[in-house]
Amino acid sequence: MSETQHIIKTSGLRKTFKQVRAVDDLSLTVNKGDIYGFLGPNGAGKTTTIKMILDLVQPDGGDIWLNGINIAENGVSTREGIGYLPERAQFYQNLTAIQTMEFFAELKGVDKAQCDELLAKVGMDRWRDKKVGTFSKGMVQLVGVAQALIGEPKLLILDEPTSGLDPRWSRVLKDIILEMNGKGTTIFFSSHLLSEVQELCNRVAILNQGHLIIEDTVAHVSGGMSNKPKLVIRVTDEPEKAVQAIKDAGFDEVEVHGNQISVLVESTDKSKILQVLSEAQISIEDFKTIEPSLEDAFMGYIGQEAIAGGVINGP
Amino acid sequence: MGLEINLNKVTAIAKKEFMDNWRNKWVLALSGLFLILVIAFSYFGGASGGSVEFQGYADTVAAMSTIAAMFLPIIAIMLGYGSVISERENGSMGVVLGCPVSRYDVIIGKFVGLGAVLMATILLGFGISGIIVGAIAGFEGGVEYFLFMMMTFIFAMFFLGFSIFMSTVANKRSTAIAGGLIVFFSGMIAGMILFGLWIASGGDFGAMMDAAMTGGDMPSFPDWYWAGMFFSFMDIYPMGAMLLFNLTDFSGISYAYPDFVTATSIVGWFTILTILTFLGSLLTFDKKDL
Ligand SMILES: Nc1ncnc2c1ncn2[C@@H]1O[C@H](COP(=O)(O)OP(=O)(O)O)[C@@H](O)[C@H]1O
Ligand SMILES: [Mg+2]
Repeated sequence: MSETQHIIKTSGLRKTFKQVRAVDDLSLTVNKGDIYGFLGPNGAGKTTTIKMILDLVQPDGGDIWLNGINIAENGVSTREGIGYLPERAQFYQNLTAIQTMEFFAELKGVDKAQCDELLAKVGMDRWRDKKVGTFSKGMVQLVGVAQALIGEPKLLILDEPTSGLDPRWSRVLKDIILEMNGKGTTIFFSSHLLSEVQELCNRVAILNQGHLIIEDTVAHVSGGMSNKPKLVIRVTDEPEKAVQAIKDAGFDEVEVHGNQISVLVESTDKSKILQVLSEAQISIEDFKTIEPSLEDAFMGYIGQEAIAGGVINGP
Repeated sequence: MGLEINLNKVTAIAKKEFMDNWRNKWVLALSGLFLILVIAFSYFGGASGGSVEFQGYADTVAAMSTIAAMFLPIIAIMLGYGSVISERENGSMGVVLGCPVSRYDVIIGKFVGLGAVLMATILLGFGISGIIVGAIAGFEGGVEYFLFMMMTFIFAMFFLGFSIFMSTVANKRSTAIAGGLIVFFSGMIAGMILFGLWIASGGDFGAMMDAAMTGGDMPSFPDWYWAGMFFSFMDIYPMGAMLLFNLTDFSGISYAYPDFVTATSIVGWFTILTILTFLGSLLTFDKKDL
């Protein structure tokens, strides 16, 4: 197998369903060792992209490489060493949890002995001999997670893995992701939740209406829209006077809501603002700094995209 | 996607299909009902001839092949219609094909695994009653009885194959079951249509009615009529079963069969049809988006 830096690479991927352009000219690169967040609102084309990567859906155009091998040339064996958890999967009504696990171990051609341990890892060992048909949604999702871990995969592809899990099991799953990544597994997971991407990932791609909006490190993407933290100050009185003092000191990005003033500033200038206010004899009740979040960046990027689209489609 | 088949994976899928479907409560219930009916028919089947007792194999088959012609297609369609589309709808097919498994492995595994469920149903329904009948009425005709079970299997395999095919073509479960039911009913009405055509083309209805009333010989039907009978699945299969025992009576009427209507040609016909449904399933599923 050729040694490439990237474990997943797509170039110019396209897929249209009847009228809907689900994925449009999508080029992604997931490097070995990444925890890669594939972010986008519902209907953005995340699931379609994942299905194309796994050869479950045929692209209308573009190429996909797994470990440097074009999947169009060598479909079956490129899927070796991949664990996949689809969105909302169900399994077989009349098979027990352990029978389901052993079935997938056989399909992956690996030792079945690990199945018990993996069920225990997701807390499903108590239900080992119960039929999956009797399980709740969350329990089925956990069997799905355990199944994806069979055979110590080099690459885990998880489609909205925490949906359907309660916070406790969501936490367990996140810890599993971090643990697997610590052992060298690359993780590619889709989500519409910014917080979990921000919490777990080192790289992120944002997809909207089938288009890639940005692909970069989480730090860069977070900084992309407003890389300045927001300083929020509550004053006892005279907010107008305070705003004036801040503007006079050369800071323009100021907003005021009642007694609360927010200023976008570089971290290094924060103390300068506080100093300006104290020199103007304004008493500060409280202040805090809000770091720029991926959420702001996400909404910002999607907003820009929408505006750009509006201009193009305008009269 | 290339012609990639891996026997270990085919076996794993076949085994899974068997385990999952053999415990399907509908399949179990129908198989149980079928077993009871078969035993009842082998006991009461001779009642019209004046004797209520277990018949030999030939009479037993004569009595129960028409019932099998209804039951086994229903069981087969129930096993097959959801086999691919349900797994596509619920996402488990994606997990299977996300593994290093080819689409051919999946289709072959389904045919083998679900075929094994059908075989088990037939062995249960006909095998148990066959042993009871043999023990009471003697094992004469036992070889033919065994061949009858195999003919029944290939007959049912065609319906299974067709419904698996429909399950790969359809994008909704309802479409798949509709397809299965269309073959089922067309297999039942083809005979009536043929008969209508025969009358319309100047067939001697009076002579036929006489034969039916008095139990005499049927007027001979033209070759096109017999060729068409091969599409009347629910008629041609019991006729084939009779022919295995060298009986030319069917429902009390004696027929003059042309040379090409033999047990072998009937088995061959259902084999060809089954192979076509298999190839059709392989080809459609290979290109299907999940
Ligand atoms: N099989 C399909 N047939 C028709 N439209 C589809 C199909 N799959 C997805 N789509 C459409 O493609 C778009 C992208 O869907 P999807 O990839 O599921 O998005 P996401 O996973 O980001 O929520 C949506 O508009 C969806 O309705
Ligand atoms: Mg999705």
